[in-house]
Amino acid sequence: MRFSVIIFAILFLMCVFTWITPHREKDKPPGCALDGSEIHPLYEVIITPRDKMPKSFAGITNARIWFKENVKQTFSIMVTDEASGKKIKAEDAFYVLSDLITSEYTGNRIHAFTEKKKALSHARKFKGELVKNPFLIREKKEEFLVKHKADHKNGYGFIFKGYKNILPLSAKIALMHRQYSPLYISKYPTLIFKGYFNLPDKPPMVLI
Amino acid sequence: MLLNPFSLTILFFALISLVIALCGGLAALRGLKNRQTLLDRKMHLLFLSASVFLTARLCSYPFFYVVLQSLVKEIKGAMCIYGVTQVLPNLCVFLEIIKPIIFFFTGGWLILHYLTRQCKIESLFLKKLIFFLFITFLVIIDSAGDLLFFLMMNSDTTVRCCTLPLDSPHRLSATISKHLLGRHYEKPLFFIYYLSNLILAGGAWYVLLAKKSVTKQDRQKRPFKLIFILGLINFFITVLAMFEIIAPRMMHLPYHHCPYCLLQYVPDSFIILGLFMLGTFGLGWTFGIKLVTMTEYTSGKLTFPLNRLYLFSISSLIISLAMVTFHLFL
Repeated sequence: MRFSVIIFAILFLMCVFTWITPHREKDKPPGCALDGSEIHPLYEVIITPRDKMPKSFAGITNARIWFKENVKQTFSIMVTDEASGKKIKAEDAFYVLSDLITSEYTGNRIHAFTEKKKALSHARKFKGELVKNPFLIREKKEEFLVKHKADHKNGYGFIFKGYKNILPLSAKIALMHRQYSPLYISKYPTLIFKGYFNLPDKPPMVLI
Repeated sequence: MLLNPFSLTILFFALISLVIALCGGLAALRGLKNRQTLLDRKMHLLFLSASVFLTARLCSYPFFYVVLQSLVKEIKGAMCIYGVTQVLPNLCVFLEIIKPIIFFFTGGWLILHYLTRQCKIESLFLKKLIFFLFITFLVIIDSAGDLLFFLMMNSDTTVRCCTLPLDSPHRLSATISKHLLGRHYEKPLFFIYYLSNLILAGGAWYVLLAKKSVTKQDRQKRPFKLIFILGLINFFITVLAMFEIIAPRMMHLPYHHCPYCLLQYVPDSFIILGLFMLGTFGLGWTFGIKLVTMTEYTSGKLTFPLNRLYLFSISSLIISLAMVTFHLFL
């Protein structure tokens, strides 16, 4: 009993001392804000959140993962021009998706350039193509609960945000817009799970 | 094949273990065939050597991760142990599943052997032999797996590390948490983690206090099974919380969910995880030993040693929880 108490006391003290040691903050070089990895200056991405310190990322892939979770907080994004090493605004850059990998551990294949010529030259050299700004991500739409109506008389109905007593919709019902273009419920609005729908901003008229 | 002092050690140890486990298994089979010789010196010698061998084998579980960590720099694209596991992912997943199972059964056998020797219980000889046979079978698989894994490992392989698979919003731990606790699961999961650990430690403490009553009927009533089941539930919750909340917060990287990076960035997390596993396993060992030694337990021979085992489990769980709390709040 005494022996085990002594062992635990030693272990506990050891852990406390380990915790107190400055390995956590001071000695660690500033790494990627997502995974703590080393940042190569040529592929660095800097995201500045509103009212906070700028965050550096090891590459576009890492920055995108962080950005997806913090779209609302983001104030500005700077990427590095791979040709010159200068920092440029994300919206001014040209992006190339090519076979060349910037960091092996994330497998990032997106490259940023200031000039379109250099971007195209890189694309030709490494079998790539120009792609859109990877930081153009729409915010996630909210999901609303809609209620099913047990039966309906005229066969017409609308889906509104927060509207109650919606038409009874099964998974394979054809929907019609006002222009009478056929759409399937699996496309728009999307049936996610027993009565949950990704509702559109404008309510479409539906016909069963 | 990647060679460094650590990988050479584990290869050598796996080879030796394979041979010893095969010999030990054959000897145990012979002992089972000739049951009259069960109390012979040979069998005692077998158990003595088995206890030495299995104690050494227990260490191979944490050492496996030490070896993987030592290989991180050798593999292209590896940033932490996760990257090394991706060289042979299927075999590594198999080894990572089988190793804690072997640790659990080996620990159980060693404790059973130690207690039966201390309390001079001879009636469990056959059970111990069958149990040992089962463990040798597992050790043979594990050693062969170790040999295959470290011999087949190639430094030319380029791997993807933990960032994409473990930080994606569709990772397994996040999907399970969302399914169980809803979209904003972080706070409820954190609360449940503490609640579950405290309930488990409190429940185990209650059982320990109840053990003071020494009558036969009271001893039989103690809810070891319930505590063991609670321990399993707590294990599941803690694993989820470790991936989703504890590891990111302890690393100060709120969107990075890799437990292997945790071992790298916060070295004492190795002790936190070890104590937690020992605490949970201790509850299982107590339950298992009570099942195997029902008659000896009810006669009161094993009450005191099992109390100590229970105390060890509770202490391990509480220290692990306290260390996590220190990291997160102080």
